[in-house]
Amino acid sequence: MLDVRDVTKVYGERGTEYVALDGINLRIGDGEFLCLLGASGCGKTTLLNILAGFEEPTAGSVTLKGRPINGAGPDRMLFFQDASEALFPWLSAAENVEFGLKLKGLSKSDRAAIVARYLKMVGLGNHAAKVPSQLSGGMRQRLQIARALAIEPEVLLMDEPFAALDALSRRRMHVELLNIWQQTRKTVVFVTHDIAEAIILADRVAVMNVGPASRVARIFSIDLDRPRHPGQQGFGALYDSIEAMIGGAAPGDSESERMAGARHN
Amino acid sequence: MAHAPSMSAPSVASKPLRPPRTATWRRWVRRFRPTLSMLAAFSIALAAWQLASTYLVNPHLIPPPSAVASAAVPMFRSGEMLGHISISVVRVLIGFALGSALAIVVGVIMGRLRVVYELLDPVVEILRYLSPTAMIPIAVIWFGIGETSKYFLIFWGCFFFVLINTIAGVLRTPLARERAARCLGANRLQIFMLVVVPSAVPYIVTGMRIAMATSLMAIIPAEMLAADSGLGYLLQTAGMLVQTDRIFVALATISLIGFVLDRLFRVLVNRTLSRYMANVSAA
Repeated sequence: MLDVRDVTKVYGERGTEYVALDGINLRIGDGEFLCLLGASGCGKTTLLNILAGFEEPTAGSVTLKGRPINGAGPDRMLFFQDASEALFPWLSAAENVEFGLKLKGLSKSDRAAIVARYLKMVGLGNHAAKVPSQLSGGMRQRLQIARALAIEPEVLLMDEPFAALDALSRRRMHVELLNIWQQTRKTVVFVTHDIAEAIILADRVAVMNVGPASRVARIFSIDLDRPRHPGQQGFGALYDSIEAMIGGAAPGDSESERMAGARHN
Repeated sequence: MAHAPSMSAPSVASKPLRPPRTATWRRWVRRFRPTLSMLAAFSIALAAWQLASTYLVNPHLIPPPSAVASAAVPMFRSGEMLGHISISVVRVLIGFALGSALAIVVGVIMGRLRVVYELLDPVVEILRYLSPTAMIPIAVIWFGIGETSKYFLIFWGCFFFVLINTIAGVLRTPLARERAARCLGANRLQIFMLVVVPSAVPYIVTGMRIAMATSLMAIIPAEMLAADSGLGYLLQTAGMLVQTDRIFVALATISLIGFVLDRLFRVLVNRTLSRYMANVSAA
């Protein structure tokens, strides 16, 4: 259980302060796939960095299985949009995956077995010796997934990981990510600004309102059968209500009316 | 190049008996084009030089290539040139190695530790305007006219180029890469050694290549003013005796050494560091 309680993040000095997050509350169950959805600038990335331990909340607390989060650690793996920056370009695919295992102090044969297993899981078994520059954008993201999974984190924190991919690679990555998630049952917190992507992937979608002073405006449970696709029964209705929520104009929803008012202040 | 396949495809289909000739020719040209164009460039330049100094200008001021070549032969035969070359090259390599090594060490520390950067950067910003030539008098006073002063001057010429590039490389390590390493369980020292330093290698190598060229520029005035051997000394004595052909032999030799050293450096880098030079975003 990843428990986010009243997390507030304020940047800057007194007088010129900027409130990025204003009392975020989220309880993310073990093995759950949660999407954080919101327009750019709504503080999704800030929240993800707080969950990863790269930033500290100004107020509030984050606990993972009851333990407070104190800095970055291998139990929570942050996953980056720009794989060419996040990967180690001088190491082969296998060596990239092995990096975290070496730091853990595993023996050479253990490492080799784990590397082979996860490269195979993401479909890079035949590309172990290639360096990242020899891989396509989608393959680099899969390599990042393999590298993240190999150290067996409890939570995967993904920051718009597929935003830079073309539409086809992106669809394939959705399928593969869901396959891997179903095999490994990691908790996933996935940041996106794409409503369809959120519906296709998530168990629940937490919609954040536009900053400053972002909050979780509403949480949608996605009860559609998997695998999901946009033509599916119920997909469109869900899409529309989430979109209305983001636009801040869901009729008859007092919460969203309050948010709509807040946006124009 | 873009339309080559579409050109060859129909010709293969319509004239199956003799298609490959143009394709082979194209491939051959593509492969040897850099070499051929380089040979052509030098041949034309040498021919123009020969013609100009035969018909246009006083050959005593600009001796033609043939005269330079005939002056060069005895200089190389006697071993005189080899002596000067080896002395200059050794000075350059030692100064370059010392300057680069210290600059890399200081640079990665400055790039990583803010306090060190804040204390040293203003000093670097002032000192880097002092060229090696400007440092010759004080170098002679400190170290005499022996080898040490030459090493020092080359060191001085290399240090700042490599230092500034190293700092830039360390500072430009992508934040995502450092954070990924932290998530994977690396501590500060491990991030520094396993992520930051390798990420800076392309910048360091660029700085070293510039420094290598600078070293060769720096050694000449140093040897002209404060030495009794080396290519700069040869230039100086030939100049005093108005031996323009010997001056041109020395100048051509310096150019050639610069070219060869740079190529050797690149080969060495490709052999040992090529994996660190890979630029992912270019792919």
